[in-house]
Amino acid sequence: MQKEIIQFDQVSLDFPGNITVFENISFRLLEGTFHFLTGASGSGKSSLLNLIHLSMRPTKGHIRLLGYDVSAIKRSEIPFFRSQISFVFQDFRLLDHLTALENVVLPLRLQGVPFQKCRLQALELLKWVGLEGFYEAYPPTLSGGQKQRIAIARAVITQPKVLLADEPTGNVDDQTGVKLLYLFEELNKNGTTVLVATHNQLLPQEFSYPQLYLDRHKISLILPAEGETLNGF
Amino acid sequence: MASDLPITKNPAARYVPWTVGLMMYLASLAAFLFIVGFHFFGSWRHDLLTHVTLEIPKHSLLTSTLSQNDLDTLILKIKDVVQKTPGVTHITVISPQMGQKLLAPLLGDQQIILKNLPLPTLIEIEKNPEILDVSILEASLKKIFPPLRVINHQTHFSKIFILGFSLEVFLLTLMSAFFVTALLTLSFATRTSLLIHKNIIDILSLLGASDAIIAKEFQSNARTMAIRGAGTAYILLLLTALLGFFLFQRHETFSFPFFFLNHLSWTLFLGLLVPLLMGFFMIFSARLSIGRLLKKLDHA
Ligand SMILES: Nc1ncnc2c1ncn2[C@@H]1O[C@H](COP(=O)(O)OP(=O)(O)O)[C@@H](O)[C@H]1O
Ligand SMILES: [Mg+2]
Repeated sequence: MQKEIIQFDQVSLDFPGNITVFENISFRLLEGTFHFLTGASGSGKSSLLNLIHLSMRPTKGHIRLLGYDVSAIKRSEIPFFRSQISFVFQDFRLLDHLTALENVVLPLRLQGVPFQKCRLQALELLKWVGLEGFYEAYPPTLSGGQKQRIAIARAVITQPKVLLADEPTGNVDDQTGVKLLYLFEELNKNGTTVLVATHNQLLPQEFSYPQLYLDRHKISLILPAEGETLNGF
Repeated sequence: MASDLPITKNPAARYVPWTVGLMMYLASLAAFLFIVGFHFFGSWRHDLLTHVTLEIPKHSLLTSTLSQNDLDTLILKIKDVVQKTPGVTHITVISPQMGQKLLAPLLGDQQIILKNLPLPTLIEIEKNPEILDVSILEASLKKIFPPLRVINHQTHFSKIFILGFSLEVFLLTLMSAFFVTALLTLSFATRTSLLIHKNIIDILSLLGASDAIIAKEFQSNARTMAIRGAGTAYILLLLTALLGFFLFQRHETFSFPFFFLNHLSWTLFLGLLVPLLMGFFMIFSARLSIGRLLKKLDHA
């Protein structure tokens, strides 16, 4: 039986100035699944990912990650969750003064792994994302798609249980976008739980994965084959 | 974080080690002067407490000018009384002739002044200040020769003490000021470094770095700056010591080599330990301010 790896229970999120993003939303993601997170711009996709990545706190409700209630998590406990839940940021968040290779090894280096021990793994990952020959390149000299690939390689080097991606196709053409999604698909086949946020309505149709759809402070599940919408699951 | 990943570079902090080094050097110097002062005031204090000078004027309104014979007998009489007084350890008579010899080198080619100078005869008494009561001695001597003046240096002691004490306090204040300035300089450099690298700190944090790991990086920067500062201070101190040896080698009142050897432990202590201690303090305070600032930045 599959375990729940992410669980939201009556979660609300407000921002100062009477901005309500979520109102009592509940859902659960099982380990090893692949979901798209869709909705119009401003519907709260990034906010939802930030809640899961613990860079935002819910105003109300409970969030469970990897089996732990993180509603009242201590600051010092956050690194543990971030080593298991990786994030591919919309704006990449690469360090411009480090090479592609140095950027990719960074999460392991921060865990104290010596450079020589993670170098080979990083080279393999860079090859896997199609950046062979760009190991020593600095991010400012690369295209958006190439940066996105570095960010993906960096996100998976710790072999996380969950991979979150915020608009990973936002900065590339459709063809490249689909190729990037193949990378996520491959990771998912190896057991990683994947959640990809996109405002692109067409992209999910290229794949047969369920969608979490955000609209008017609520969340709903759209299953691929039937195209039906389930509320309050 | 290992140093092979130069995650944080702060170009503004390039001059910090020099500034900090200069402050450490000046603090050491102030400490050294404090010790020199302590040494001098200690010996002056000793001299002032243990010396009384008797002055037998050549002319006075009360007596006619003394003949040499009368003077000699008078001196003998006075010496006799003084010697019998308990607490006196040593007596030296300084005749006007000897006084002239002592003054001659100070006057150079103005020796003619000496001829007309009515120098008194001086009797230097060394005493144990706890036993000898100067006022009793004075009373008995005045009976012998009323115009006699007793100069008790102990009465100047309080003035010298206040002067010396304020100078020493001033030097300590100066030392503390240098110390605090060095501390603030490094702390400021560390804080600006943290703020400059806020973006990088956010990214590292999002990649799963704990505050402790991020702090380590900045701590090692602060440590490097403190160590470079101490190195600078040591070089400056060494140069100053060489200069001191060279300049004060044969100075009449202050021989640096002599002082240095006599106070070897003190000078080495100050020279070596002041920059070291300051460095430790600075690293420690940087550590505290990094921890506090990371919490306050409340990064992602
Ligand atoms: N830090 C914030 N402070 C205030 N409002 C925010 C903040 N982040 C997001 N919002 C608001 O929350 C809503 C959802 O934003 P977001 O999660 O970025 O949506 P999406 O990623 O779907 O475009 C928007 O109305 C946005 O203005
Ligand atoms: Mg967004």
